[in-house]
Amino acid sequence: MFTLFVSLVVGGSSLTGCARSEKERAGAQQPPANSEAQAAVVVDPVLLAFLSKARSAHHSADAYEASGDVVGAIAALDALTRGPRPGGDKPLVEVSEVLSDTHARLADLQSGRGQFDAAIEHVDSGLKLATNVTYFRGHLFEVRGLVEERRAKSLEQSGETDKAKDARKAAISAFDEAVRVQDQVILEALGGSAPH
Amino acid sequence: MSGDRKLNLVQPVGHDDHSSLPDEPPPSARELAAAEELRVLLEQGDHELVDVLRAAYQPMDLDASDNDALINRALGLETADPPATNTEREAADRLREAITHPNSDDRNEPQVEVLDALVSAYRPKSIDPLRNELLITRALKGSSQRTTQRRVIPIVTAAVLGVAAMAAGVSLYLQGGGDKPELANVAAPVLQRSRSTANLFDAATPFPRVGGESARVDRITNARAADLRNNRFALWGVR
Repeated sequence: MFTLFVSLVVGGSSLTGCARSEKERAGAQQPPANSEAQAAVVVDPVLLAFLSKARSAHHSADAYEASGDVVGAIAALDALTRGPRPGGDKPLVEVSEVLSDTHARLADLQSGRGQFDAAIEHVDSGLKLATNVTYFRGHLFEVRGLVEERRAKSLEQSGETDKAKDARKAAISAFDEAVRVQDQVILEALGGSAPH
Repeated sequence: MSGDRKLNLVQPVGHDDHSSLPDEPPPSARELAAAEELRVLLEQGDHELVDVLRAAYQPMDLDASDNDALINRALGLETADPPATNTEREAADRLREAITHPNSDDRNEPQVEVLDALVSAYRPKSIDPLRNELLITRALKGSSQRTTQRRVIPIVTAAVLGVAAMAAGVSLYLQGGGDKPELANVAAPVLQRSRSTANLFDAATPFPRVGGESARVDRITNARAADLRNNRFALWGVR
C-alpha cells in the first residue's frame, strides 16, 4: 500500500514538473518583446536622414517655385521620389507618407504645366504608398480632382467639349472619394462615433 | 600546332574498347552519366574548365605588349616602371571601380576582398547604437529564457528520486506555473518606433487643397528628430 502511495505521489510530482516544464518551454518559444520585425522599425538615424533629405527637397522646390522655375522644382522633388528610401520596397510609414505627399505636390506642379497624364501617374504612385486611411490619401484624391479639373478646363479651351465633360466627371468622382476618405479620418479621430 | 589533334578526355559513349586502360574496370553507369554531363557542359561552355582546355588546345595569340613585358621580366630586363599586361590592367580597372563604388555588389574579386579587409581593419564601421542595444537586449532575454529551462530539469529529476522531490513538486504546483524568474524580466529600453505621422496634424482640418507640403515635412522631421533623441536618451539610461 505504501509502495502504491509513493508511486502515485512520485508520478504526480513528475507530471507536475513535466507540466511546468512544458509550460515554461512553451513560454521560451514565444517571440521576445523586441522581435526582429519590431526591431526593424525603431526610429533611427537612417529614417532621420531620409526625412532631412525630404525637407531639403521640398524647401529647394519652394525656392525654385518662388523664382518661377517649375521645372527645377519638379526635378528637385523627382530626385527624392526616385532616390533610396529606408525600407526599400516596403518603406517605413513616415517614408511612405512623405513620399505620397511629394507625389501629390508633383502632380500639382505637372498639371500646372499641362502635363496631365504625368500628374495622374504621380497621384497613382502616391496612392500606392498611402494605403491607410489618412489625410495623405485623402489629399491625393483631392489633387486628382484638381488635375482633372485643370484638364477639363484645358480641353474646353481647345474645343474638345466631350473630353472636357469626361474629365469633369473624373474630377467630381475624385473629390467625392477625397471627401469619403476625409470623413473616415475624422470619424476615426472621434473614436469611430458618428458626427453629431 | 597540328589541326589533327583531338581532345580525348572522355571516351565516347558506346565505345566499348577499354584497351587503352586495360587495368581499369569498365566505367559504372554513374561515371558515364557524370562524364556525359561534363561533356554537355563543356560543349555549352558552361564549365570552368572550358577556358583552361581551350587555352591548352587552341591557345590564343599573346598580345605583343604582354609578350614583351613577360619576356623582359623573365630575362630580368625590367625597367623601373615596366608596362602592365592586359590582365593586370583589367584587374586594376576592377579594383578602381571597387574603390570608386564601395557599396557595389560585385566584390568577389580577390583584390577587392583584400581592399575591403584592409579598409575594415583600418577604419571598421561602427554598429548603429540602436541596433547594438537591441541585439544586447535580445541576447539577454534569450539567455534568461534558457536559464528558465535549465531550472526545470532538476525539479523533474528530483521528483523521480523520492519524497523530497515530491514535496518540491507539490510546492511548485501550489505556487502555480505562471511565475517567471526575475531574470526573464530584463528591462528593455522603451524605444520610439516608426509609425504614421497622422497624429501630428489636426484631425478636424484636412490638408489644404494645394501647398503646405514643406510645412508638413518640417513638422514630421522635427517630431521624428525628437523621437530619435528620446531613443538615445533611453539607451543611455537617461530619464
